[in-house]
Amino acid sequence: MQNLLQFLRNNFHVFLFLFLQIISLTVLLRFNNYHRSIFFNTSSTVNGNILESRNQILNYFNLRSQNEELRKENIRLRTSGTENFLFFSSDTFLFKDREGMVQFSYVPAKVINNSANHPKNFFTLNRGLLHDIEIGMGVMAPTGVAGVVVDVSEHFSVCMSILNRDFKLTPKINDVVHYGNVSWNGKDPRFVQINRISDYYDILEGQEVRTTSYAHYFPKDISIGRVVSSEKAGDGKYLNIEVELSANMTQLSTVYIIKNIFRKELDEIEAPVRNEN
Amino acid sequence: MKTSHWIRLIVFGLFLILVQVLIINNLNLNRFMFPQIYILVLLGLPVNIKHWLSYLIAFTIGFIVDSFTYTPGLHAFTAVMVMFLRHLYFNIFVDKEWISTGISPSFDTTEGLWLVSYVAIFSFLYHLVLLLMESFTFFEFGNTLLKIVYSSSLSILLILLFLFAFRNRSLNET
Repeated sequence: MQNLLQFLRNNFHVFLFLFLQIISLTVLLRFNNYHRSIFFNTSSTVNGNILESRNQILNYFNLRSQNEELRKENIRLRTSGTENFLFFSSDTFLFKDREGMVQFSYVPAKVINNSANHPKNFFTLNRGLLHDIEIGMGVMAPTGVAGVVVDVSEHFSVCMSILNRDFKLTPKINDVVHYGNVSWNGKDPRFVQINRISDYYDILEGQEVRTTSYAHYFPKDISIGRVVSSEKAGDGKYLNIEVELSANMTQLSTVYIIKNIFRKELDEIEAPVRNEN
Repeated sequence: MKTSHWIRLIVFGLFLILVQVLIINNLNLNRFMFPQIYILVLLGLPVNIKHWLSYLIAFTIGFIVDSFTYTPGLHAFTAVMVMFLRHLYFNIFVDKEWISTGISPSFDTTEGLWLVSYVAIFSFLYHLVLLLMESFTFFEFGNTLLKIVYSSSLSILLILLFLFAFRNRSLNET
């Protein structure tokens, strides 16, 4: 017994070393992307405030490019309003407008922490439960899709970036829905990939890749990017496509969190069907 | 070791961690360069520090950095591992008598060439463990290898710059 105690005491550092390594490995392996709540909620109270104050200082440095981005968005929105159209048949357009209901609302947010170098990237926004942000809401930069909210604390929220191996989104290329996924291979933060989609349609360089309304967290027709190349794979049965992102993910700053007002209703009606499969 | 020495280490350490998580983590230089300069805190610990204490310090620092990058456990694991390798290195390659002096490695206390190689070895090891753990597969090994080489070279440069910049001040204070 004496010897054992002595042995333990002499090799205390070895046990401590092993103990700490086991703790960190367990934490590393156990925390997958959707279950970071404990980690995030405890750290965000302190970290969030530090990050927020840093952001207030550093904000001034990219005002010019932010301005440019927002101005482009303004122009796009201005030109898409009905007042810019010359209508040949007088009423159809306007009636359709009035018959609809607002489905999506937008909450502006600032990115206060961001990364693009990891295989799994996340960014933090300065909006949280207080602003009615919920897990699963889409996030878009002024130019295009940026990510989806995966965790919310009182004042902050963490989003899975589109530059994350676990991010999946159904794309629409040149107004045709393709049953494949936009995903990232972890290499270049400017490009994402759409792998293994059917080669039934011709995919050409420069075609627009946009969101569909299938994922309830994005409205349809939000820009994801532009096709830069496509090549055949799997004995020519599939196409693998390289897409240049519209959003500049390495310099995210102003983003919008997208609320789907009918989300709950959609989830409720879809849940029983999903469970059956 | 004197208390003033410890206080200076702690202040310098906190400063480095803040520089790391608030500035360098958000630089996004390019897809291969992601330097970790906060490891200078670990490398700058006194050479005769108790093993258990060094592990606890490394774990804490790693966890702080983790909480900013949303990689729970990753930096903590790597930091403790590097601390272990540091003790191993001292045991094998360094004179016991020199260790008992308990200095913190810097330009004032050690030979320049030794310091450069010390920083180079451990930055490389650090990035090796970190990026391999992060990618977790050897599927994109070329990509990971490039990241390791670029990131560690840049952080060696930055760490040496840091050490060089704080060289005179520490000389005056002691």
